[in-house]
Amino acid sequence: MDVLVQGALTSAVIALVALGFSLVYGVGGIVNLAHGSFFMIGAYSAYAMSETGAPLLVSAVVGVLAATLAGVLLERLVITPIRHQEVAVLIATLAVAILVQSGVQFFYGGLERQLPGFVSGAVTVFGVTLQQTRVLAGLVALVTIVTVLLVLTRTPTGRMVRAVAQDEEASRLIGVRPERVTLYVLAIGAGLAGLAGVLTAPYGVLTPTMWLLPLTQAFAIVILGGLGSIPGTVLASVVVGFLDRFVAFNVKDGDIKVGLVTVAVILATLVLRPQGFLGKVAR
Amino acid sequence: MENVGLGVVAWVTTARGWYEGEHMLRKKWAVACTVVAMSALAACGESGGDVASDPTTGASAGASAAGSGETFKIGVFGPEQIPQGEDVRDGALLAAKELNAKGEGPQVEIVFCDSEAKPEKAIACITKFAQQDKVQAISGGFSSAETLAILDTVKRAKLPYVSAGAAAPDVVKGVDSTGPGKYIFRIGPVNSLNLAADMCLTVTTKLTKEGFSKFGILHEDAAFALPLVEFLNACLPNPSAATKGAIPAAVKGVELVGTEKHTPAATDFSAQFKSLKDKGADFVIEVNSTQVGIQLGKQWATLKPGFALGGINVSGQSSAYFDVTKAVGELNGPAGIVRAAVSEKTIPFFDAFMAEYKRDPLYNGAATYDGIYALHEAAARAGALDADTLVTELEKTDRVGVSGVEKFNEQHDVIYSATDPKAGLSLLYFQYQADGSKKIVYPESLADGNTYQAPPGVTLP
Amino acid sequence: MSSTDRVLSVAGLKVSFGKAQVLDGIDLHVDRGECLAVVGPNGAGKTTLLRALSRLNESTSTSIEFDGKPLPDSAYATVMAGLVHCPERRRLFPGLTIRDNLELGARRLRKQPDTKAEDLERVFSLFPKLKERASQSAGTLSGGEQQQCAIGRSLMGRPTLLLLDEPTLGLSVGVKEAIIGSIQTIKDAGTTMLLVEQDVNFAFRCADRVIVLEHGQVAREGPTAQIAADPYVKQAYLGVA
Repeated sequence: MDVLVQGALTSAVIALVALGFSLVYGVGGIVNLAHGSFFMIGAYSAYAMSETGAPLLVSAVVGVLAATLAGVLLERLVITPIRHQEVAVLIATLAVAILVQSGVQFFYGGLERQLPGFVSGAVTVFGVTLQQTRVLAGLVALVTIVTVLLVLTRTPTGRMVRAVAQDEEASRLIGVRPERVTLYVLAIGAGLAGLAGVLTAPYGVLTPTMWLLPLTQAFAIVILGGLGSIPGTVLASVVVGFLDRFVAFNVKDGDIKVGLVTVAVILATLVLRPQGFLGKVAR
Repeated sequence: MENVGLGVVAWVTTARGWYEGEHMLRKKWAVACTVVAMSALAACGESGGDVASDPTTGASAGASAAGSGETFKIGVFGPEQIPQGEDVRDGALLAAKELNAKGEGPQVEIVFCDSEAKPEKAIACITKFAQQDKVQAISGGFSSAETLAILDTVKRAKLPYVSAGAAAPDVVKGVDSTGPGKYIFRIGPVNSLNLAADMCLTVTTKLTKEGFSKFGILHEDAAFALPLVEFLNACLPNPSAATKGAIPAAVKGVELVGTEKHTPAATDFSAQFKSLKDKGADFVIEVNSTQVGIQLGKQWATLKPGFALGGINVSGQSSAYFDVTKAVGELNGPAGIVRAAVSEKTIPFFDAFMAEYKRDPLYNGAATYDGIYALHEAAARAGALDADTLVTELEKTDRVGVSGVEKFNEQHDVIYSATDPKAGLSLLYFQYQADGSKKIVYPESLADGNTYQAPPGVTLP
Repeated sequence: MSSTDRVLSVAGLKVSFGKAQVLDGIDLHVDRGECLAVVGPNGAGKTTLLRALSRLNESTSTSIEFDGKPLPDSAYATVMAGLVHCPERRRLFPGLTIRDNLELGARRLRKQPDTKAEDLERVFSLFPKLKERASQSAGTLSGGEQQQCAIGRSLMGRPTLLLLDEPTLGLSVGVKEAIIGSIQTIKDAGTTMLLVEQDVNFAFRCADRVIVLEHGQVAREGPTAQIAADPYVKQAYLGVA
C-alpha cells in the first residue's frame, strides 16, 4: 500500500518535469539540457518571494511565472539562433544550466534553503501516513498533467502542437509556424517544471545543484517511454515513480540503491528495446 | 552514484548510436547522451559548484605584531556555504578577536579558505596555506571526508593541524609524538567511537530506564557514521563486552531491531520509518551530520511514526532547526553543545558567539574556537612558532575549553573530562521542548531537574 | 486577359542546392480555374518547383506574382495568402484522427467566418470513405485513403491555388482511377491547380496546359492536346514511336 500511494504521488511530480522535456523534444527537436534549471528557478523564485514576506500563493505563482519567463528567454536568446545545429543546442543549454547554477550559488550560496508548505501536518490515505505537502504536490501535479493531456488531445491548440510534433514541415503547409509553437511549448514546459519545483520545495531542500536530478530523471523517462512520445512519457513516469518507491520500501538500504536500479532498467531498455515503450508507434 | 550510473547508460547509448548510426534520430540522441554523460560526471565531482569567494575572507582579525613581535598566522578551512562551515570560520575569527584584544602572546591572524565541502578543494586549501600564505598552523575542517583527505598533505607540509570538525576514528590513525603524523591533533568532536560508546552507555543505562527496549538505527551513509554504527551494533546487545567493561551490563535486555541508512541528499524517509516501525522499534537512534537532518526531523515530527527519535543530528544543534522542523521531543546528543555550565567557558563562549553572529554555535564552531585557543596557548608557552616546538607544546595541553577540560592522549586525540571524569564518558543530551527550547536531560548533573519526556505520539510503558 | 485571372506568374525562378542548379530559370503562369500539369523525368526538379513556390525551399527569381501581389517570402505567409501545397507522400499527421487532419487544413481560415462544417461536408461527399473513418487515426489508412485525406486537408483551406504533388504515387491502378476522378471533380468545381505528376497519361487527362520540365528547364510548354501530339513527348514519355 505504501508503494502504491507513494508511487502515485512520486510519479505525478516526476511526470510534470518529464512532460515538458518530452514535448519540447517532440515539437522542436530540441534536447534542452537547461530543463532542470526551470525546476530550480521555480523553487528559488518562490523562495525569494516568500523571503520578502509575500503570501505563499503569490510566491508560488511568481515561481511558476519566473520559470515560464526563463523558458521564453532561453528560446529567444539561446536556442533560436542555433536551432538547427543540434550539438550547439546541447552545449548551449548545458552552459545555461551551469550558468544558472553559478548564479544561484552567487546570490544564495550553497546553503540549503527551505520553502514553507501550503499545508503542514500529516494525513492518512489508505492507511498510509503522509506529509500533507507531499500529498498536495502529488494532487496538484496530477490535475495539471491531466489538464495538459486534455488540452493536447481535445483542443485545436493541442491538435496543432501534436501536428507540429508529428510532421513539422506538413504543419508549415497548413499555416502553422512551428517556431512559435516551439516557443509556446518551451515556455509551458518550463512553467510545468517550475511548478514541480515549487511543489516539491516544501518537502525537499533548495540547493544550487537541484536541477540535475530532475533533468536526469526526465532524460531517463524520455528514453524509457520512447523519444518524444507523450503517452510513453506518462507511462514511463509511472514506471519510474513506482519503481523508485518499490525499491525504497522493499530492498535493504533501498533509498541508496534507487538510482542504481532505475539506471539498470534504463540500460535494459536500451539493450532490449531501444525505441522505448511507445517509441515508434505513437510519435 | 546515480550520476555515474547515468554516465554509463549515456556512453552505452552513445556506442549503440554510433554503431547502428543508420538513423538520424538515434544519432541525435547519441550526441545528447554524450553531453549528459559529461555533465553528469562533471556534476558528480562538483556537488557544491563554484562559488566566487575571496580565499582570505575574514582575514581581518590579524594585526601587526604587538608585544611579542611576530604574528601567528593560522590557516582555517571549511565549507563556507553551509552552517557547519560558517561556524568553523566564525569560531576561529571570534577566538582571534578575543586573543588579539587581550594582547597576551603573539597576535593571531586567521587565513580562511573555502573548501566547498569537496575533498579536493580542502587539499588545495592546505597547499595554499603552506606555499602561498605561509601559515604556521592549521585548524578547522568539517566532515570526515574532507578531513581524512587532507592528512597526507598536512604531513608533507609539516604544519601543526588541530582538527575541529571530524569524528572519524581514522583522523588520528597511526598518530604518535614522533612519527610523520605527529603534526595532527584533534580537539573536537570526540572520536566517533567514543561518541558511539557514549550513546551506547546512554541507551543502555538511561533510555532503558525511560521504558524503551527496542532500538533501531537510522544513519547517513557517511564516513564518520559507519564505524560509529558498527560499534553501536556490537555494543547495544552486549555493552559490557564491547567496551571491555567500561559500560556496565544493561539493566534489562536491549534489542536492536534494525538498521537503515539514507544518502546525505535524501528528502524522503518514509520507507525507512516504515521499515523500522514494522520491526517494532520504539526508539530510533539517528546519526547524521549534514543538512539532511532537517528533513529527517521535520518528517519525523510531521508523520509521527510512533517511535521516539534521538542521537547525532548536527543540523539539530542550530537555532533555526526547530522553527522548520517543530521536532518536539527529539533528543540530541552526544555530539552537540548547549548553553549550559559544562565548563566555566561554555556560557561565556555562547554569549560572545551569539552577540557577534546572532545565532547559536554548532559543535564545530566551539571546537575551532578551542583549537585556535589551544594553538595560541601553545605558542605563548613556547615563545616560538616553529612547527616542532608547537607540536611539543600542544601535547602538553591541559586547558579548560568550551566542552570541558581538554587534554590530548598519546594519539593526539582529545579527551574531555567534562563534568565528572570518574563517571567515564558523559556527554550532553538535550531534548527539544514544545516551545522550541533545548533542555539538557543527560547527564543529570547538568539537567537542572529536567527529565526526558516521551515525544507526541509515543507512549512509554 | 485581365491580371485578376492570372493567379500565378513566375519569371526566372532558380533553385540551387550547393553547386547543383536544380531549377535554372523557370517561367510559367497559371490562370484562374485552370489546371497546369508539370511533367518530366525523375530529378527534373518538379517537386523542387512546388517547394520553391510554397517557400519550403530557398529560391531566387526575377518575379513571382500571386493573386495580383508579390508572393510572400515565408511559408506561413504564403499559405495565409491562399497558396496551399498538398505535398508528395501525403504527409498526414499519423497520430491524429482523420477529422483532426481535415480540420487542421482549415487553420489558414481561422480569422475568417467559420466555414469548417460546410467544407467538411464537401470533403466527405467527395470522399465518403473518410466520413466512415473520421475518428480513426490517419496512420491506419490505406495509401489511397491517405491521399484522399491529404487532398481533403488542402481543400479545407479553400486554396486560391492548389499545388498537388504526385497524387497517384505508389497507388494501384484502380485506386489511381478514383483519385483522378476526384481531382477532375475538384477542378470542375473551379479550383485552380498546379499538378506535378509522373504519370503523363493521367496528367494529360486532367490538365488544360502542360509544361515538360527537363534538367531544371522548361523543355516544352503548351495546351495539352498540342503537347500530347508532340513527337518528342510521344517518344520520351508516352512510349509511342
